[in-house]
Amino acid sequence: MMKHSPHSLPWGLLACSPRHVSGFFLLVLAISCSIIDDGAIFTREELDGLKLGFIEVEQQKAGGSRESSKVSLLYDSVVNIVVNPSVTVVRRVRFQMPSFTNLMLRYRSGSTANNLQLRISYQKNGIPRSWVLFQGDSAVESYVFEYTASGKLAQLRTILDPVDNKPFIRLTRDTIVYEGNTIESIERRSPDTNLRGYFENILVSGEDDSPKLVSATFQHAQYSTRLERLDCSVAGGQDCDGIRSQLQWKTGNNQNSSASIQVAYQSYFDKPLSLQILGDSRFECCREQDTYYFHPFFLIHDNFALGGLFLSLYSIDWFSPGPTITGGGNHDQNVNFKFYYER
Amino acid sequence: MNARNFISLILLLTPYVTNAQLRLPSFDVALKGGYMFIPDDAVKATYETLLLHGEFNIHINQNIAIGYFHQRNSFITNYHSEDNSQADNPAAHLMQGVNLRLSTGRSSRWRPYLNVKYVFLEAVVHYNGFDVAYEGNAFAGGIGVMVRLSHNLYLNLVEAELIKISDPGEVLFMDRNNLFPQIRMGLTYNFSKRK
Repeated sequence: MMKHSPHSLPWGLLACSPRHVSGFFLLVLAISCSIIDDGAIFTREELDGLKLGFIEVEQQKAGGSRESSKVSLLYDSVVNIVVNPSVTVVRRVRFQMPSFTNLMLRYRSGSTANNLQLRISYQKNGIPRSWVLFQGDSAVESYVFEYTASGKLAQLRTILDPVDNKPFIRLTRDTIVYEGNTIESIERRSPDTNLRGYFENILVSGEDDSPKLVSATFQHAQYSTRLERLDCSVAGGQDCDGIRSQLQWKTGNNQNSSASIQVAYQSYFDKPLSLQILGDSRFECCREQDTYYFHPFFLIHDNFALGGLFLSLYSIDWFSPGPTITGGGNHDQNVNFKFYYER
Repeated sequence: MNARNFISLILLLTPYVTNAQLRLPSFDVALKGGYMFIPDDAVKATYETLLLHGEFNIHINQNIAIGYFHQRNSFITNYHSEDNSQADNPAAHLMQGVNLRLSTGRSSRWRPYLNVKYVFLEAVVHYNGFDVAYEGNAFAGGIGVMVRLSHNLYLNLVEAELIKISDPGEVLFMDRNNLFPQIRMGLTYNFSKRK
């Protein structure tokens, strides 16, 4: 931590009497101390220029089982790939992905392989074009983003296609409709009628550029999911977007569940420092362990206008509550993504 | 030669200028603890710490002493930003510089004094993978009172200072008009040969 400043000179050599040398030498040693390491950030420009180096993923479930894994950057390259006349990919980032098999976090494609890589492609202005998870050379999870003329996310295509000639798990196209500065509805189309649905009654509060979800309902063929904002400050969080998800089956059975998302930022920094998903048995009792699916919005929601709102709404895709159990239960658990940046 | 080294040189030469016979100057050494609270108005953040403070002062005469001080945070330190859900970041500060002490009374027991400091200030907040830092200058002024415990030992009963940042940081505290207080107490040992 402590280092000797390169600006300091050996002033001890200037002491002209031997009996004074030791005292002055101590003085000079003290003067030369600095607590600032090389590479520290002093300016806004330096801060904005930081790039994501790796992500540490920590999972901890009730009972203390803990697992830590690492998403490592393989490259972050400038490219020039014309996808179509209106879309040019200018940057590609590739990560080596860990295998999530033991605790709460999983891949939606069901992949448990250990040769996974994630490739994120960006258009101009830093907006993502695609998010593709590769198992070997096969794309097992693909998310493609399309935008309105003003740069808002207009469509999200999701393709979950496991390897080994298994059928598609998911093929959907979500169309986002805006009203003013917020989202009015999202319609999900799919060749599979069981996957079709739509978000309605999306209510938000807060600032125009970063509204918080108040409530929304996702209507589906077999069920509806009502999302409500949860005051997760109870769980000790600040700036915490809690979500209570109430699953109402058309057959009449209801299932309540909740999760909260806590995203931390440095005060001058427009990139997330960490993203934490918390399950807390104080909110909803009693379930087996929940499952969280690794979703693009965990990593790149900040690249979208209203990204925080998308992160909350898409809990319908990344949050899968465990089954209700009787006689109590404890699903205190959390998944924490820590983002490490470097120059 | 930058300002810090220039002042270091002045500090080192002071005893020679003020002691024509080049004898060991009269001086004192102090060790103090204190509390500091720095608000960062720009981002509604706060930095507070129980600090450690050391001083080495050379006596010009019975009322004036000039010296060097070195201060840094202890392990009881907290940096908290209200708009940041990552509530507590490891943070640190370092202050060092020139101290001018003016004794305003020479009673046998109570020794009130004024302090004026020129401060080199460093502060760091550690985040995942990177540090955000501040490096700048400040002026400090304050009052204190010493109680004489023995022939050479004094208790700094209380020292209160106001510190004014000269140049604001771009990505870390402090706001341009930031003025923050500090209080300290501790012990001073006087190596004086003259009374």
